Amino acid sequence: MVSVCRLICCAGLGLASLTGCEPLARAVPRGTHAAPRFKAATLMPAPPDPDGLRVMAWNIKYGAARLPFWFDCWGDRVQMTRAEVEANLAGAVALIREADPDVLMVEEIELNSRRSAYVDMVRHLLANTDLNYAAYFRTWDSRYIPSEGLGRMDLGNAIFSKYPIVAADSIAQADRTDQDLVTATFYIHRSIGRAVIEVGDQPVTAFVVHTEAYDEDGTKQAQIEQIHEVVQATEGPWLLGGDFNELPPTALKTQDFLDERTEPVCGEDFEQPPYTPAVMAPFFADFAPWIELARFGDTPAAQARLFTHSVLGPDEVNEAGVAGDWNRTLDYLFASPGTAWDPATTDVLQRAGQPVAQTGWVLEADPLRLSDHAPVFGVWRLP
Amino acid sequence: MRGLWWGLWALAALPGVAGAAPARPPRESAWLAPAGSGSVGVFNPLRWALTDALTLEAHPLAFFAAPHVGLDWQVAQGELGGRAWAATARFGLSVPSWALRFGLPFGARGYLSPTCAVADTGEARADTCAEAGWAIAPSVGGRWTWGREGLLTVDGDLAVGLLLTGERPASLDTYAPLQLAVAPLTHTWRAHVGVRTEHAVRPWLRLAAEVDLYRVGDVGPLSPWTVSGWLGVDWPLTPGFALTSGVIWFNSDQGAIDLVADGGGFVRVERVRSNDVYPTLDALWTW
Repeated sequence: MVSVCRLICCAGLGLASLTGCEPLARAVPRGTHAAPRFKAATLMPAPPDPDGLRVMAWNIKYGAARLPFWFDCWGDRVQMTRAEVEANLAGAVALIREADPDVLMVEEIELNSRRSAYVDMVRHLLANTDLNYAAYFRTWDSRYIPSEGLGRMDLGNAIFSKYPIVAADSIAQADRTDQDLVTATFYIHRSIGRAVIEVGDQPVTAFVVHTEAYDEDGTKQAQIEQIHEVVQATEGPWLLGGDFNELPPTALKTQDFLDERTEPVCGEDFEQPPYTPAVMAPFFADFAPWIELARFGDTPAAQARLFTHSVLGPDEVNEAGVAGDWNRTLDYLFASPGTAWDPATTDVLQRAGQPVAQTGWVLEADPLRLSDHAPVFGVWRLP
Repeated sequence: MRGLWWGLWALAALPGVAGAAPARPPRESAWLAPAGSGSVGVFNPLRWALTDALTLEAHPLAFFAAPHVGLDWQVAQGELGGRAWAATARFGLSVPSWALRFGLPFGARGYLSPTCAVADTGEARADTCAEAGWAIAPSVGGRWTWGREGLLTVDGDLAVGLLLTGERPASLDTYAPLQLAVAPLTHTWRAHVGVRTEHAVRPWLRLAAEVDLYRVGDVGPLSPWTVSGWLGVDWPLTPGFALTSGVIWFNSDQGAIDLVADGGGFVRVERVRSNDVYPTLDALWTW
């Protein structure tokens, strides 16, 4: 028998000199490379020749809803059961069906991760919504992440559409430079996801992004600046959505959020570095934001109405006993200059019972319990 | 990496000072070393013959990460087809949860299992940490070897993880050697059958080949079956010292996928098994 002793020895020796077919962690290729596209098994009819597109961007927290993972620092979760993931995704699907987007940008979606019970979330959303096509932009592809027992990771961003996605590619973003070699090997490699969608005979380029959250070396700022350069250089109409991990330029509160611990519990790796809201200003100045800066207002109450993020859920309390609630804006939608959003439709979908802009639609789903991010939504007028 | 294989093979195949070394008792067989003798390697276990029929086994390095001990008891010898045979009963006991409960240097908590930093604050939180409970894993098996120089060994064993406290942790879903080592804890049980053949090609060179099949309890979505194959050589340099080298291959389900063409430029997810090849290289002392 290959004894257990030898098995352990193999593990020790082998991990150092592995020759298996699959690498420890896959580096995202530099530059631009094609991204995989998926199609629903059953295609649902899409509105022909629409005047506008219903657009939504949402960080779905890999189907974890409000389960407190260890890097949230409010819990110790590392893994979910399949039943938990399916229940959480059912809530996400209900919200997506209610919003009925024509184009959906999703961040933190997983194709095959141990922590989300290997659920193929791209296929799940295609099978359970009216969205017909998807492009998946893999950003974290590790065979086994030896941190807290996290294990296999296949996470990325995705663009879903009712209309055919005829091309998709990933544009590599800068990696962090403030990590040791081992951590960097197993860490996320951010990218800009780009898909070309054929809306009737009108090609529309859609982008999805999710920039760095915890760097101390300016990586996030460099990534945001690259996003601005890429979309600015894009010809034809385009849409950009995602989690920028950055505050709007007029944010009144820039630190000491209610979901941050006062005493470090889970190490320095997940401490929030200072925000740099000015880096978002060119997006509002040069492009068509779904919500103009003026609408963010200059009072805490006005800005709170457009918050999109809270690490702490409503059923948990911080060290001062305050329940979690949306406390900052990190998620945005933009469109190419010269195009317009219907201001009566654009909003942040924050909580059940909320009237969505001036549409007459009252939100039934409760985004506060479905993810640590709220969806951003609006109808974009096709040029 | 191919250069490494050839290098190891060349090292093992070289004749030299070992030419005068006496024939060595075959490892991993039902033939046990005489009372008072023993062997130990860096990666091979410590074996100590209590009597001619009882041998204790433990791995010095792994012992502190996963305390364990094994006992081989030779229960019968005989002759079949003009060749001698021996049979041993094998018993073992391990504490597989040790490595998941303690941090470095005695375990891998924080790497293979949660640190439970929030739980340790004592705050009342709805979600609790999935810390591995304490468990022991007794094992029982048998080994039958036919022949003394050209050997054929068949063996099998079963290990069962008995939870003493707390919860059974989730499957690690990782590299096969590690996965199998903690399987009695994570998957309730681990069964194994194997066949090994070993031949003394020269007094200074033994060749061995082995195929093993493992089955663990049904936990999670991954296949419970693992297959492995091993090819190796022993190269005795002196009567009390040998080099061993080889290559081991594992085929297991570690949750890997491929994206395969689905027509029209689209793809779909297809689950695939993982193949891993590791070198095995060790120095072995006997007395």
